[in-house]
Order: sequence, then C-alpha cells, then structure tokens
Amino acid sequence: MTRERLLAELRHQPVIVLALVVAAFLIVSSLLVPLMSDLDASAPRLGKRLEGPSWAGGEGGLLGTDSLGRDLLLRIMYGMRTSFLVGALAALIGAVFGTLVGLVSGYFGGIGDAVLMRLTDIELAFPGILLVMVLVTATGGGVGTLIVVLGSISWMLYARVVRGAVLTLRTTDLITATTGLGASTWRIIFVHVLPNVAAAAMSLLAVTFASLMLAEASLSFIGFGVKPPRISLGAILSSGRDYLSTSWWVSTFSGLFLLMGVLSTNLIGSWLHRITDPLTIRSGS
Amino acid sequence: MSRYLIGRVAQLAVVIGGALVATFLALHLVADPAVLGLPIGTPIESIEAFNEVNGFNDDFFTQLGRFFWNALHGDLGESLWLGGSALGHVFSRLPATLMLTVPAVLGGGLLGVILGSVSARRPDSWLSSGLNVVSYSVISIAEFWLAIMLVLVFAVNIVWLPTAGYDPKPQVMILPILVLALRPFAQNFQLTQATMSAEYGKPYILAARAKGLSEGQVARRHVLRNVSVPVVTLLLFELSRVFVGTAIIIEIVFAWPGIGRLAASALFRGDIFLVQAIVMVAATATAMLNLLADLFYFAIDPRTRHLVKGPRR
Repeated sequence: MTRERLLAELRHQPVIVLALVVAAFLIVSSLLVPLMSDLDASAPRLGKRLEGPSWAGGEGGLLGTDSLGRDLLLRIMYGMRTSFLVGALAALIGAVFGTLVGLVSGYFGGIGDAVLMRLTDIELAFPGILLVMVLVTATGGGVGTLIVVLGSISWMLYARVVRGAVLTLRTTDLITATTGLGASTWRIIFVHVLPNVAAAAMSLLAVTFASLMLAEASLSFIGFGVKPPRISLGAILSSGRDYLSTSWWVSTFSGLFLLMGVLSTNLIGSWLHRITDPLTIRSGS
Repeated sequence: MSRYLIGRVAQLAVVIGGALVATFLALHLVADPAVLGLPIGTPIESIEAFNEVNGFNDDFFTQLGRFFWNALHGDLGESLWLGGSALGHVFSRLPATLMLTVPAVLGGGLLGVILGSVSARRPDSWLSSGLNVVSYSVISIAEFWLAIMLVLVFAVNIVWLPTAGYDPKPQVMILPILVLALRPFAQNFQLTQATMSAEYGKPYILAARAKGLSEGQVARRHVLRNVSVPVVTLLLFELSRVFVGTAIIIEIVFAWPGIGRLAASALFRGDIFLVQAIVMVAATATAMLNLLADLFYFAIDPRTRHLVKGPRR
C-alpha cells in the first residue's frame, strides 16, 4: 500500500486518526515525563500521602499521590513504559517464533507439519493464565521471565495464519519458477515466501500487543507480574483498592491510562488488519 | 466415528498430561518445593523432614512416575496449606466459580449473538455503529479496573450493592457476573455481525428468497445454521477462557471463594499439591469444552462429516 493510498484511507477514518494520536501521545509522554520530572517515582514522601489531584482542590500534582506520597502521574508514566516494553517484546517473540513454525510447517508439510499443528492445537487448549502464574511463581518473576512466558503463549495464532498463507503460496508459479532457477530451499523460504506472508503476520502484531499489555497488567494486579522497584499499571491499580472510598484517583487514573493504551492499539490493529487482508480488500469494504 | 473419537480422546489426554507435566517441571525442577512451601528461616532439620515426608528427595523420574500413577487413581496428594485431599478442595470450590462463569458467558454471549444479527441486517444504522464502538471499548477494557470502578460507584458512593464476599444472592452476584459477561458479549457480537454479513452476500440467500421463503425463514433455516458453527465454537472457547482466566482476577476483586482465588492463594503459599490439582481440573475442563466444540461441528455441518466417516485422510 502506497503512502498516498494510506493517507486517503485515513481521511475517512477519524476514529483511527484519533487512536494514532492517542497512541503517539502515550508513547512520547511515557518517554519524556520521567526525563523532565525532578521527582522520584519510588521514594516515599510520607508528608504527601494520598493527596488529591490539584484541579480537584488537592495538593498532589496533576493526578494526585499514592499511599506513600509518590507522584501518581510519574508512576503511571513508568507503568506505561513497562506495559509497552512487555507487550512489544512478548508480541515480537510470539510473532517470530510463530512465523517460523508456520513457514516450516506450511512449506514442508508431511509428518512435521502434522506434529507442529497438533502442538499448536494442544497449546491453544492450555489453561493459559493459570500456567503463566505457575511459571512466574516457580521462576520468581522478573520482567525478562514475564516477557518470555507471555511470548511463549502467543505464537500459535501466527503459526496458523502463516501456515495458511504459505499453503496458498506454494501452489503458485512463483515457487515453481524459483525452484526451477535452482534456488536453495532456505533461500526460497526466506527470500521469496517470507516477504509474501509477512503482511498476514504483521496485521496480527498490534492486536497481540494490545492483549499482552492487558495480560501484563492483569498479572501484576494479582501479584504474579513484574516486581517492585519496576512499576506496573496493574500494581498501581491494585494498591489503590484499599483506599478506594477516600482516594479514588489512584485506581481510576492508572486504569484509564491502561484503557487508552489498549483501546488505541486495538483500533489501530484491527484497522491495519482490515486494510491489509486480501479478502476484505477484494470485496471492496 | 469411533476411530475419530479415539483420536480426539487421545489428544485430550495429551493436553491434560502436557499441562500437568509443565506444572510438575516448573514446581519441582525450576523451583524448590521446600523454598516455595516453607516460611523463610525454617531450620534445616524441618526442611529435611518436609522433603522426606513428601518424597521430594527421590530422583526426578521416580517423583514424576509416582505423581502420574497416583493421579490416574484420582489421588493428587494432600494440600500442604489446608490439609485434606487437594482434589477435594478444588471440587468444593468449583460450584462457586461455575455459579459466576456459566450465567456470565451464556447470558453475555447470547445477547451478543442477538444484537450482532440485528446489527448485521442494518449495517449503517446508529444502533450498529454505537454497538461497534461499545464492543471495541469492552474488548480493550481491563476487567479488574471496570470491576473496581463499579464497586466504587455502586457499593462505595451509592450504597446499593455489597462490595465483596460470598453469598449466593442476586445482589451479591450481579456485579461479578456483569463484568465477566462483557467480553463474551463483545466477542460474540463482533463475530456474529461479521459472519452474518458475509453469509448474506452469498448466492444461496438469493436462491432461498427466490423460492419464496420469508426473511424470517431465510434467517432461521439457512443463515443461523451457518453462523452457529463459529459462534458456538467461540462461546465454548470463551467459557474455558473465562473459567481459568478472567474468573481468577474477578474472584480476587470480589473476594469470591472460587477455584481462581484458591489458585492464587495456593501459589502464594507454595502449596504445590493444591496447585497441581487445580491445573488438572482446569486443563480437563478446557480440553472437554474443545472436544464438545468439535462434536458440535459434526452435528451441525454435514461437510465436516467426511472427516470422521470416510477413508482416513
């Protein structure tokens, strides 16, 4: 898709433009706000415990402070960084591994294909979150582990989609021609097949990213995610539960930022899927 | 059919066995059961005794073999934390979880199907675009955040409903069921709308109308039958996901004593026998729901029957 067509397409999609703006705003502010602030996101300030937002008559800065007097805006921005980091890296691990499985499975077929596809079936049928909780407990947690564990439960969809695309592509003249020219198997797979099925895998990336951001926050919320001093939106939200009746801002704002991040990514993702999916393009909708 | 069924049941056993092996590996090899299960500062003699009594000193394959042998006989050990049969504790908590998840998924899912088919007939109406916005927001929302916001509004500010606790009464169950129902609703809405609009563009609709069927008959006899395959699959998938996923978090928010909250407590306390029992029940439930979805295909869609009857592919 050319840049002109992309821009023309966007002109009719005000919601997507808004989602792009929100996502850009969140990424930029989560990078910049911690750099610009002179406050410490982790050190307690007991004199400023649970101060309300400044615009609501409190003295806690723009979004108020948490139960240890720490600036909520700053903590939320660090939490957004964790969300983006975990979501993006885990989605990438899932995408790369799933695409490899799909390429090998679809191109070679046979027994290997049957085994790999049964494995995806089995992993799809696994009780996901529960096993993640078990693995996080066993390994003692940490961001790296969480990324790997979340990545390892999100490759199946890529494997299926890529395999399907490869199966279709294998019957085309492209493969017959390159085989006839004497290209090696791996050259065919990575130079000729991969670029043609990459769009199918890429369109899933944003949606996986969004759901993994949610998964990280959920796990941190129940205490199976990232550990302090690393800050997570889910953990901030959970810490606000005990003060809900007096200090509503802690849980409310951390959840609101999470919602903005996930919703904008989901909207962008489903739009990308729509405009890159050959089926919907052909039917003209 | 019987050959197919044997294959599917074997696959079911592989899924359950795989989940159990993964759990066993994680809890016994990656972590040390004594470190997980005993408080910090426990004297060496007590740790030794703990490992001896529970057989953690035997070599790994002896332990794994004994675990599966006992599991086949329905014995998953005794809970370290609560005492008594681990499996018994899981089954005693099961009704509480089902009480929330089944009405939530069925209610939310069916409402999604109904509104999805209404909106597929009128794709450009305000109802359709409004529901689309709602469904995307619902899919993007963190359920636990919404649950806390609902508690804040309905139980803290206007004291209509209790905040949390176990009491199988409508006013206690309404908030958790409502939150759990949202995602099944949105997913089913989007799927029904998408598949229905696709079905209405197919030539068989023209044929059905041409032979004089009313719109209602076309919808009931032809469209619904085709749409029901993906929709029922999604419903069963949602049920398994809510059962072992969302319900864990919602049970914690509402202090509801189901197996999800039991799982979190068992993991925090390092009660590995209880954790293994929960994983086994959860994996069995998930695998059974998947099998049920497959069997439903054959009942509803004649095109898939050659897979089970004809010569082996």
